[in-house]
Amino acid sequence: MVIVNKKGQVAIYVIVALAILAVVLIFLIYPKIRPGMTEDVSANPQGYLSNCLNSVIKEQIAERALHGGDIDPEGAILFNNEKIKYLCYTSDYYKTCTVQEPLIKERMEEKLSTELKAEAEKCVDLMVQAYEKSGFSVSKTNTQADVNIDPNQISVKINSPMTITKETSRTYKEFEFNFPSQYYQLFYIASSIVDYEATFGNSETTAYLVYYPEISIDKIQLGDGTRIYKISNTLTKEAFTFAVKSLVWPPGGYQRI
Amino acid sequence: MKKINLITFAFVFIVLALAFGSAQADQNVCCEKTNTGLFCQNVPLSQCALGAKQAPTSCDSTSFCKPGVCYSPQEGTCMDNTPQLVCNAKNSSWFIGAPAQCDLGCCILGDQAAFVSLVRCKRLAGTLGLSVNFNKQIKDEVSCVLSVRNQDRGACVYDFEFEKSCKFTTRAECNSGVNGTGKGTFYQDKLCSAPELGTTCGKSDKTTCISGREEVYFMDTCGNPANIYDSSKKDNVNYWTNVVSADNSCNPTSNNAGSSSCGNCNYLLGSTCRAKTSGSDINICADLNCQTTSAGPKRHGESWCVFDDSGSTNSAKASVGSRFYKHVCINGEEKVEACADYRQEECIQGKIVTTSGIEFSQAACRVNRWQDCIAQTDKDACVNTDKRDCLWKNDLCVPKNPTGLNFWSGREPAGQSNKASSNCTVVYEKTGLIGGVEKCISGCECIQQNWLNTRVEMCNALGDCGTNINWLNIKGSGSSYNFTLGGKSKVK
Repeated sequence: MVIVNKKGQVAIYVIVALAILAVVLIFLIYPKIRPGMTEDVSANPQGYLSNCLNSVIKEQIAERALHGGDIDPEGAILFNNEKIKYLCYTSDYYKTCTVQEPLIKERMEEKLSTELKAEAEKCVDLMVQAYEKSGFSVSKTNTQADVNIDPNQISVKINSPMTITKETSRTYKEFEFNFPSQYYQLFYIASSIVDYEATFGNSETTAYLVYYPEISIDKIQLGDGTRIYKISNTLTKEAFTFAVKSLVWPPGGYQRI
Repeated sequence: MKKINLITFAFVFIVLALAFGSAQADQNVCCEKTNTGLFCQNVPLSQCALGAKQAPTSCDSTSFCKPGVCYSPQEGTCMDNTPQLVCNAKNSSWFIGAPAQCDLGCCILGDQAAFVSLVRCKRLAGTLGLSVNFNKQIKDEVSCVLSVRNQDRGACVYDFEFEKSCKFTTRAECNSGVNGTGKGTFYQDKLCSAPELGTTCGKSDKTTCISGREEVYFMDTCGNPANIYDSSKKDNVNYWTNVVSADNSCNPTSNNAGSSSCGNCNYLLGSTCRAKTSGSDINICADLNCQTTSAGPKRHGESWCVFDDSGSTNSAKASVGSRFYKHVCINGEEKVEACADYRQEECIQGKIVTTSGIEFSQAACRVNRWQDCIAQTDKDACVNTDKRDCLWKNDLCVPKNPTGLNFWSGREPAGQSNKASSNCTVVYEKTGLIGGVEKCISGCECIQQNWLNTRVEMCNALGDCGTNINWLNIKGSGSSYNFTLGGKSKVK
């Protein structure tokens, strides 16, 4: 025998109805939390672009850093199936190396800026589409990207002048955002090691660890005199790997030149 | 007849042309860019990239590959030994000699210092939000670092938005104005949280790690560092008023690694301030020492030599393929750095004893100076460690650690090993007219096994020559020396 408590049933219906009403009201009052609109472009176009480019730039810089600055480097050595670029190299015995890449950070910025331009264009297009879907009209010109590797951060400037119009118009000249990163420090230490190798040969890395306690430097000496350096930040896990061949001693007393 | 002459001439011409061409291809040139994408290398002509500039001389003597200094005006850094060709990033400049912009001086950054160029100093000061304080009169790094050691530090009180604010800094920075305000009032050895200063800063439970310092510091409500973290003194008014040195703080003789009550870390004892876990705002003294290594417990920064291949060292005999290694304890991890292959470098080790009586080992890979051992005929000259790494053995000067040889290619090992070859004249006298016996009368030691053993040892001492084992203790096969007596050969 089933006992039905009618009063209880009514109370449940009322509670469910109130809950539904509350949800509808919340969506009406706070449109930002509507499903599928997690990235509300109208509220924050800069945030939209930042989210869109964040992972791209991190991947690009990590990929380049793994190979000494280039994705498919020339003047490189194959080590553990990865091409590692020589930042300083000599083909002679008994001589310090000739610097192959004196401006590591600057070169990285240039390459990232060029690469990011295409990605930024894609992100801007996606953002424009999202705006247009939301009933805005957008006029824009060409997109340029500028990446700067600064202490503790990577700053990105997307120069993409645009005007967004619905009831009122808003004009944007450029979008600027930063990602926390320690690559600046890694590139600076790498430059210092390259300078040491080019001047004296075989660098002493222990000293760097006193000045930069969060940095770890692995130095692998190969049979042909090549040294592979991997400088990594133990906290952020960011790393930069490069190769150097300097002040090489020939086997035995044999001298090629 | 004419036809034969013509054919002969053509043949000679082709042979000469081929020989000349081949010699040209093998000739070393300074090449602007090699086939493999390297810049300014002295390589055989055949390795030079198509269209790249080249000259049959050393790169140092060419105009297109002359090494110089590459200067980055953005960062204020100078890179030596750089050809102009690769110094081509935006705004960079190339100079034959070091330009004035590369002159170093002492850059004072608050209570820290860096021995850098003026532009670099401006860059660092800008990053840290400090005013530029560059002293080019200081000419070396040690003096630079010492110049900021004894700076007066204390609370700098200034007015900011109608309130009394404070920054814990140096007297110099306080006098030059902080946070864009005018000159502040400096209170030496006082903390910003000192109640008598009446600032907006007070005590808090938060701690912080400070760049360039190893201790964990309390942080006041304005974000200034206070004294070293000591849980027993978090409510002690005096501890939040006056600066207390590390020596007078909690457990000054310990590294306090992992301690939740004391933040008096000591880098030399193997600890430094770190977040307890990644992203955590709780800071502790992280242990940097290596508790277990191949040589037992080691301190952070200690390095030591390891030779764990078969064979021995410093005895004029080394196994084939063996090399020296330097091990380092860094951040609780044992790292291995190989010295140059072919035993062209050897590992040397020493130790220092700190003021607290702790032994600290230091090792380095150093060039093996074996090259002129064999040329020494005098024992004193041979064992002169200022000049060479040799050993006086059996009246001969030989390398302490013989070099390795690239014996699997070329004639090099034969050349090196031949230096151990020796001729010894043995004179026999035959007694009796018929059926007499031969009696050795001079050079008789050369037919003793001992002499032969000595020669084999000499052979080993010159490099990877003669009978030897490899680094895995496997004995080599094949003939190792040739001993001829009376025209009869005895190969072993």
